Amino acid sequence: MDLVLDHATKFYGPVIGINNVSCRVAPGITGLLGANGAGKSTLIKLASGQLRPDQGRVLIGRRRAWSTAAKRHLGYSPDLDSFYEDMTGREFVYTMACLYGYPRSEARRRAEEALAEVGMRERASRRLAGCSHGMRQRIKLAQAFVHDPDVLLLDEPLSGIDPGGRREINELLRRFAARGKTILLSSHILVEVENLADSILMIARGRIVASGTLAEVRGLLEDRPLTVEIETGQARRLASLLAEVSDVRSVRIVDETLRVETRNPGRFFPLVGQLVLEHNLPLRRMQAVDAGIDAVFNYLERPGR
Amino acid sequence: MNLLRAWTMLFWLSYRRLLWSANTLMVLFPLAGCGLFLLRRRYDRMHNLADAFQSFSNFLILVFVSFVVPVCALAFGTASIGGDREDRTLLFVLVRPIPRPLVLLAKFFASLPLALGLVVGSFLVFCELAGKAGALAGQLYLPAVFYMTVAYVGLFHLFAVSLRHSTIVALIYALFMEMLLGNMPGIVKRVAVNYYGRSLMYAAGHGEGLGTPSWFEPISPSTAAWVLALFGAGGLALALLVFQRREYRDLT
Amino acid sequence: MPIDNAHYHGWQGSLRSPWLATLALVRVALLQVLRRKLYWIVLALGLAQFFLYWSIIYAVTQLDPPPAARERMLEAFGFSAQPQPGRPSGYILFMERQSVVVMILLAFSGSVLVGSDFRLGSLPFYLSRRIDRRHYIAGKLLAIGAVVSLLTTVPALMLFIEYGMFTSSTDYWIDNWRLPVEVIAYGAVLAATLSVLLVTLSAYLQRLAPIAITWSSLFVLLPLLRSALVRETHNRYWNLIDPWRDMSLVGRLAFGDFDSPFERRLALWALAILSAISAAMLVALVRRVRSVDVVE
Repeated sequence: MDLVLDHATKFYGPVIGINNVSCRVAPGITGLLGANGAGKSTLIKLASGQLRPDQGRVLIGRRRAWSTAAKRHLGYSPDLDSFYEDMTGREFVYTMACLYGYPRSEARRRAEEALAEVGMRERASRRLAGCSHGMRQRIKLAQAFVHDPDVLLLDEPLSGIDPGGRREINELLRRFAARGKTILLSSHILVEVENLADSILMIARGRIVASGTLAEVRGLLEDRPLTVEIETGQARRLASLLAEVSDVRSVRIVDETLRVETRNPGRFFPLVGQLVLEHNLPLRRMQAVDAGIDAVFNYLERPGR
Repeated sequence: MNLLRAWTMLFWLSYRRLLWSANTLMVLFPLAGCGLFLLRRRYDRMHNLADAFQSFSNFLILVFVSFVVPVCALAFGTASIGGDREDRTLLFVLVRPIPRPLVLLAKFFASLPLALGLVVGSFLVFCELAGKAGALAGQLYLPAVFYMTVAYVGLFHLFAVSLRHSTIVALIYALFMEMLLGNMPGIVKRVAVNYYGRSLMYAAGHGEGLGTPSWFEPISPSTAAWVLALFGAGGLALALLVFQRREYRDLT
Repeated sequence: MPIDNAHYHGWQGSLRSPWLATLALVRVALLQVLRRKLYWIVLALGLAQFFLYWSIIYAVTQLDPPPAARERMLEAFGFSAQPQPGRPSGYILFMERQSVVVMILLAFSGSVLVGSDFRLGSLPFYLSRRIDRRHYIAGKLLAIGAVVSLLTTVPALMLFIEYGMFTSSTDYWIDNWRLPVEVIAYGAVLAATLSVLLVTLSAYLQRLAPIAITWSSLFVLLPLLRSALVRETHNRYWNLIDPWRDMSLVGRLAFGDFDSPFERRLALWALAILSAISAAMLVALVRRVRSVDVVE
């Protein structure tokens, strides 16, 4: 089942949350990437029927996301950390399953299955008030897919989960996607989504600035100019070598550190490695200074890039 | 999947959370205070039944229906939605496939028996403590107490879905506006639930010698009962309408 | 990265006393309350009475009748600008009439200023600084005290100043210097008692509804029961169950006078009751304020 945004616009008073967004999220895992305040949460809230678009439509399959019918097909893990704190994890997931109308025995079975999937079966008898952040994240995930939804919306699902836990949850989401389910997963960490998502939606200042498969979006990023700092014992020699490379726009030496601006990061990094090896140069540090996600989004939304 | 089953679960969830809340515990304090008052006053030991009835009626009008009834209604009426709003747990209910009006109805029907149980239960216990005068008052005033509770619960649900700080607004309304407006001359008092409740009580107690203050100008009992029912039903209907339209961000 | 590169440097100057941090707590607390619209609505309700008396005093002083007639005119509105032997002055009565608004405002403030610190886990933000629980408690008590004073002591003093300003000399202020002292004493008792009670209750109850229920039971129900008990049993000791009455009596104990030795005895009882309750509440509060809440 697809999630469709058709010219969706949402205002918060005079502030625009998302601006004329149109996209189709198909079965598989789609990463929704954006800096803080870019509009990720607004998009997810529209898709989960918490908000109504001021213009355009948001559909789950053929139903409007705001409608009750759409919510049968929807699983949602919010980014807020509020629960019925006095319940245990097991009670919470069971109660949420019951709110879909399952008979008690079926709700109990589904709750146990969901808890097992997120690795919480043995620890689910603990009161939620006493659970760690990671455990609470897992419980939130369990309640989101306890009814086997067709569309799963996950708002920052991996925050606070340790690397081992991330691997488990990534596996779980992949299994879920393999069954033809649609997963939209928001994050502001590129690497987090890179390993998991089949396709990417990048949002900045309320607009979709890039979308497509990971390879397509990566292609866009490879052409992006980037400034790189290199610490080496022989800064002048490396500078003279890099000055002859066509993809390098400028080279400066600041306090024995090379500051290189390149047109094509995709080709630049392997080239530096090759030069260092060929000329036996020491390399202490190499770091992109504007590789943060904000810089990526700023580049992607720049007109006529 | 079955909607009735989901609704029943939501009703029980709301009921349990309200029953085992700090509100229930805290509302027992004023009830205990009133109980201790009655134990000290011993209306049951007064020789003159008319005097005992008059004094007990004054207690019911000035203390019970002016304070205990609105506070019990507030404890469950505004808290049914207001508690979820304060804890930010309403989201977990609103993303389930239960229509918004049914969500609010589940909350209303969970809070109403609790408020009614506590108010009517304590009213009957207080009447029992007051002896013969209490037995008489119990028969005469029970409808007024019942209607007032329903009216306050309906009204406070409207506050809860419309306003962020509904508990405080309900408190201002019940303890400030109602006392101020309900005791004013002229028809301005007709906006107060308390006025209609007292009209019912004065009319019911009239035959037993309960005097109506000259400035009060009560309304007829049947009209008062209808208006109270309307407050409850109208408050709930408006609350359903508002809740159906509201986005989640307006409910946090 | 070495820590020096991140430009982290210890403060080179000498740090001031952490007790000064309580002032920052008060400032933040007042801003937290003042930025809410509901606070202004409740404040407007509270100030309606102030403006009413302000207008009455203005009108009466502008008519410029003889002093005795002026006092009678004010008394017709339930106010008295002169000291009343054995009875509270009009300024104290004004403060007492603010009780319902003060009660509502404090129920709201308790949840916002104290309850939310515990409910939302923001206590470590305070206690991870150089301040400890004593400073936190002092800051919150002062903040609540400031909210109480804004609705009671400050407007009462403004009415006193107004009355003197509209007379033809400064004699009113000089002759009646005890009136503002009584107002300040009563205001101090109100601020101290209410702040200790509210901060403790809010630390334990945390959410708005239970705080509001308990608070209104204490400050609305008990006065109603007190009035019924005193009226029907003719036993004036029942006055002691009313916290407003207790605070008024204690305020008068310091600077006011009483119409009978019984009233003074009652005031001493009120002092004992308020002291015991406040001490118990303070102990409970100190035990409650911890940076880490252990959940079983």
